[in-house]
Amino acid sequence: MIEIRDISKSYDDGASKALSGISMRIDDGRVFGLIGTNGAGKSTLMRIMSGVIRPDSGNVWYDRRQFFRVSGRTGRVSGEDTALKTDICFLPDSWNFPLNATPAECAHRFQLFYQNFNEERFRKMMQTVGLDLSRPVRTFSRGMRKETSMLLGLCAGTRYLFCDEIFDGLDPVVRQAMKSLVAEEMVDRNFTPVIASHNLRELEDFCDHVGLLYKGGVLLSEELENMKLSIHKVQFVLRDKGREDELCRNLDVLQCRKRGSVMEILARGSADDIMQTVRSEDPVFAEILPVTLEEAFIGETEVNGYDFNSLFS
Amino acid sequence: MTSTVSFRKELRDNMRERIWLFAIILAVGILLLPVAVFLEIQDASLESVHSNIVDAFRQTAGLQSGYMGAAVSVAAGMASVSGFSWLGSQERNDLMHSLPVSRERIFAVIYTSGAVLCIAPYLICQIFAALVVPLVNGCFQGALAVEGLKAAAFFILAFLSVYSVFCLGMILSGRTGLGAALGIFILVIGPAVYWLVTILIHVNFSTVLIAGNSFQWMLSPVALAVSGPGKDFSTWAAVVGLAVWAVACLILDCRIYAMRPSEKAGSAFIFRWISPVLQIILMAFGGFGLGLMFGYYNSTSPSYALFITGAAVGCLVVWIISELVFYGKIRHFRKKCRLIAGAFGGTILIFLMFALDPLHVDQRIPDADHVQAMGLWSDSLDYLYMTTNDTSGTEYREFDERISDVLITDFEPMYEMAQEAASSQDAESDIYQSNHTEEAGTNVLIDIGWKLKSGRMVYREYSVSDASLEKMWDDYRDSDEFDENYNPFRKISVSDIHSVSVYSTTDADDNTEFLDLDEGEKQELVDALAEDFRTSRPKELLQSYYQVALDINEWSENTKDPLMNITVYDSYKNTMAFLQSHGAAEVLNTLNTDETVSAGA
Repeated sequence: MIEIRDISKSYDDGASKALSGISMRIDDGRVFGLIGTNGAGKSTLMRIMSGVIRPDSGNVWYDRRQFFRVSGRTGRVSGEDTALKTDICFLPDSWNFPLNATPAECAHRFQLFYQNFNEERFRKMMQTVGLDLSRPVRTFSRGMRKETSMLLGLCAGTRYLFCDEIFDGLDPVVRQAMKSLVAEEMVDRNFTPVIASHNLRELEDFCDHVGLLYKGGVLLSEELENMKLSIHKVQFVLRDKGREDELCRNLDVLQCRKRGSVMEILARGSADDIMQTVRSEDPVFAEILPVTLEEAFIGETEVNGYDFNSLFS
Repeated sequence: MTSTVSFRKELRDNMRERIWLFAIILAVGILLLPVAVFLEIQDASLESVHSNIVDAFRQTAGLQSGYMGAAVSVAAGMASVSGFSWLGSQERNDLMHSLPVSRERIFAVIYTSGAVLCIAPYLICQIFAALVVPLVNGCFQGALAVEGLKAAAFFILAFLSVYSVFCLGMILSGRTGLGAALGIFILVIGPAVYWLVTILIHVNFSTVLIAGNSFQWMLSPVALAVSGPGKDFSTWAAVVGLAVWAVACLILDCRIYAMRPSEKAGSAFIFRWISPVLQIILMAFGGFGLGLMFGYYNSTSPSYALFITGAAVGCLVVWIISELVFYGKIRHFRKKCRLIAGAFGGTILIFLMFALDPLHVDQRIPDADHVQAMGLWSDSLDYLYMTTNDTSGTEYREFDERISDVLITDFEPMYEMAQEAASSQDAESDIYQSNHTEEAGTNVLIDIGWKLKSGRMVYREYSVSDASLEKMWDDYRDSDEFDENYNPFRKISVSDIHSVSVYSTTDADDNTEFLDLDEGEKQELVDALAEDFRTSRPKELLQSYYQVALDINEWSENTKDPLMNITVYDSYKNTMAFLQSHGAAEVLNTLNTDETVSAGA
């Protein structure tokens, strides 16, 4: 389990605040999606969790072990627990090995530091996706570099894999293949991927838990299933148009939209309760529609006073 | 065991990435060491340059090789840049600092790798230069191996000290070019400040003299490496200086790297305060540079107004350049006005401290209670016993070296003369101007040195009237210590005299007579010269007529047949009598005894 407690981070000597007192929890064995706009603080948080950069305040706990050492004299972070880092592999959004290196050399480098790195498996996977182990990475496309990076991370054998916008630039087939590999990995061993992205649709069918960052803070952090179970979209037409407002008042409505005669509302509550309330108004028709992750977020963020569209515009 | 094995593997991995560095150092090292030594040995055997092979080796690949010092400095720069250039890349920071390895270990691997890649090829080349090449040429000596070992130890230490400084520059910056420049800045700032202070003293003070000393070399490991142990400091002093630089910078490297923020990749500097501090120092140098150029363009009448103008322009220009280099653009000019004004103000303040001399440094001399010994020298004194056109028998020596040879503890008359000269020194006067009056006579420029009880030397240069000089000389009439130190003929060792010849300076036929003297007669001649000099006075000698000169041929270890020319004044009665009676009659008979032309005007 990863616990992030009151992490704050500024750049440019305090001029630019990237994270402001962030706290969240990431359970083992779950795919955690870290969502936010550009500049929300996703990459900063990932780098802090990997030990690449150090927070101004706060700490990260891995299975109740403190990750950052804090100087008693100055109160500032003075280093990380290197032993804990053997369980962490960080894949940033850009290729970070020397461009003249070949995938084989990169694997060799990873093997020096990650004792559980499975070089044989890496070779097989590279061959499966059709990438040449002996070709310099500078001849690879952006997508091919991401594939290589992802395979290196998966074969590192670490408990935690932090991927920063790793699916960007991948074609749909490869993207799906990567997701499958992650799922396989989770079945085979104790493995927890944390995926950062600004694309809600990409993570919708993949993540178990999502955390939404906005301007350095956490807007929400919740199980996706719970979110979907507790929010439903209902489309209906009432015989008595005058009863529409009354109906909306009887439900915990997050969003309400009208297209001609048809009302579409996003409401919090169980499906049965919502339908019972709607049917009590004798509708011409009423049905429950699937809720997307994006729609689920709409309610949560707009209730908190944020214009969801402006968050992702 | 696991940790050690892993360190070795990481080291090997890093070295493999930079194996090109080893190749370059080896290629250059072959040329600078075994090939150069081979060529020098060839010359030495032909007796064209050096008298022995060890000396040839010492100047080519040994401790006196200046270009080896420069070469190790360049190698150090290459090693540090190639090892730490990745610090400017956010992507590489993401990789290196996310790996399960401590910052200290990362630094240790890279630092060690760079050192091994440079030191290993150097040692290979040095072994070839000191052992293989001489063996192949059949001229190997044990002394060569000793010289090779000493040089290897010295230049490895020099490399490590310069390397540590360059690494510090790279670590303090988030950009490769700027990091290398910062390393160079740290290496030159010490000598640059010393040099600037020396110039300010030279242009503003008329009496203060700055002697070469080991302190200036200690200000930079490059200076120590390039100059090598020499006349200004011993080998051990150089070794200690280099060791201090190496250890101090290595500690700083480790500490700063461990706390270096990764997010500073791409930034000019990792700490905010570095930029203004650097800019202030650079602006000060720019201000002084242009200020001195404007203000002292006419050295005889410097202008403070022009200096201030030049300083202002220099500060501004340097600030603009530094902003462009550090940030690529000029930012916040209004906010930076205070910085520029501060640098300008500091420059003017420092300059005024020298120009106005509020502490009267130019007029001050050390307290007599603090003085252990004193000495003086003047180029005019050289004329007292040498002809003006041939000083090939003596090598040029700086004033501090001259004075250190003639320090005496009975310094009271000398101190009084210096006191009088200092108190009469006008801040506006130029001591280099000729100052002749009928009453005072001619002034002589004298360099005076005080050796304080603390061991420190203080030097001044004064324009002393010949009356003062005469008085001092008179006061030392009966002083054996003064005679031993200032009578040049007391320092001649008869065993060094090979032959003596006499000639007349006025003889158009240039007749020279060689005197056939045994050891006893040579001693007699030297004693006669010494006695004649002792009873004479500088003014008298400078105004004396002379027609005779002696050539004394000395044998010396390093030189062949140097000549010492001695002016034999008409007042040198003892010497003249000796020459008359020992085979120089023919030359003496050609002298014109009626003329009494003054030789010094």
